[in-house]
Amino acid sequence: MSEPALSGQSSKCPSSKRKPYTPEHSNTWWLKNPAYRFYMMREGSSVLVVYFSLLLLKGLFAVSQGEAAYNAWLGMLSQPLVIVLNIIALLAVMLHTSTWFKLAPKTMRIEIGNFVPSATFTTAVLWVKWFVITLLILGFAVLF
Amino acid sequence: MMNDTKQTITYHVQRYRPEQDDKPFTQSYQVPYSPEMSVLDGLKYIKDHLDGSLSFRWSCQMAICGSCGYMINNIPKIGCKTFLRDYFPHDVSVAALANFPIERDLVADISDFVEKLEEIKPYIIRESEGELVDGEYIQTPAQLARYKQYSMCINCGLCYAACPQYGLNNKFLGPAALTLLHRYNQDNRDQGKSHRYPMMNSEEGVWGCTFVGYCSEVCPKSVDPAAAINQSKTLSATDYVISKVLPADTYQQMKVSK
Repeated sequence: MSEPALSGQSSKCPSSKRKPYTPEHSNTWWLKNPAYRFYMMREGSSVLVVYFSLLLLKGLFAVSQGEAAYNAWLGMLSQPLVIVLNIIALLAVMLHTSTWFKLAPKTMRIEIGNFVPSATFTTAVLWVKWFVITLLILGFAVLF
Repeated sequence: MMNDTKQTITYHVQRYRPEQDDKPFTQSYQVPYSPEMSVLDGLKYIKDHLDGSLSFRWSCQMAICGSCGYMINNIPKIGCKTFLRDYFPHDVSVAALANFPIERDLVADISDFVEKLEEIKPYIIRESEGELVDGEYIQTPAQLARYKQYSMCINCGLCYAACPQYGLNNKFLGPAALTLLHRYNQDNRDQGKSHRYPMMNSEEGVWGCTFVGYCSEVCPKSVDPAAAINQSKTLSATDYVISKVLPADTYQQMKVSK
């Protein structure tokens, strides 16, 4: 059997033929697997959540400044580009919320006496709460 | 069963021979296919009939020993529990478990994983030992239920192959080690939480996790390491707040009695 190349020999133990290979870590690791791509989308949705929060904050500020400012804000919202951006933001917020509701129950162990709700149950409870609160807010907005 | 044409499936197997190769390469084999075969069965056929030099770990063939973890079509899976019928007639690619150095062919060097398991003090720690005459430490079914799921880990390493945080920084303790840590913290017989806090509370501990959740997806035993780690975050945060709020000696005293 021929001698292996010297560069392949472990310097720690010359008689060992071990040479563990560590693959290079690529910067596009997250593109390689659907689970990673979804994770990046989930994390990225937070950027649009921040954008929308700032937009709402601006609207609130505009309300405090009077009718003219508020109408200007509404006008800005009607711009086609802003509408498109807001639709994308809505999708991002929905992704953010649905993944949050799915993950949040896993971060805690709930014990109500002998009742230990499953993660699915707790997620369902969160969706019900969301639905009820949304109805209340929308009802409030419609009535007043 | 009468079968005129033998069906075959193509394997693309990662090869690496440290004595001869500078880096891994792929070798393809035609393996006779039958619907009940697992990926591991195909690898064993290759070794027995096509290429005796192929190296891979396997043992129990029933998904309990944790030996035969590979990247199958780029997804961490257990070889004996993954069936060719789910891929046939498409090709199957098999590579060594990701995020670990490759020793040879499909054999990954998982020593870092094993060291981390040992590091987190995976044993019952008592502050006060009971007397033998008092009998065993009692544990109700409800108390068992608090940690039983996390004790089901077979140390297969799939979660480390799945975890992108471990892939980016292998100082991160990783899913299985942190789950084992949580398993002992949740065991009512254990009184050693304070011994594990330093490891838990560090950046390499639970706070290195960003809840990607892929570890729980790939776990063959449904251990749900993501849940264990993120429940530990609550414990870690609580400990941090308590340590800042209480006077130092009261906190030390409290740690001992926990």
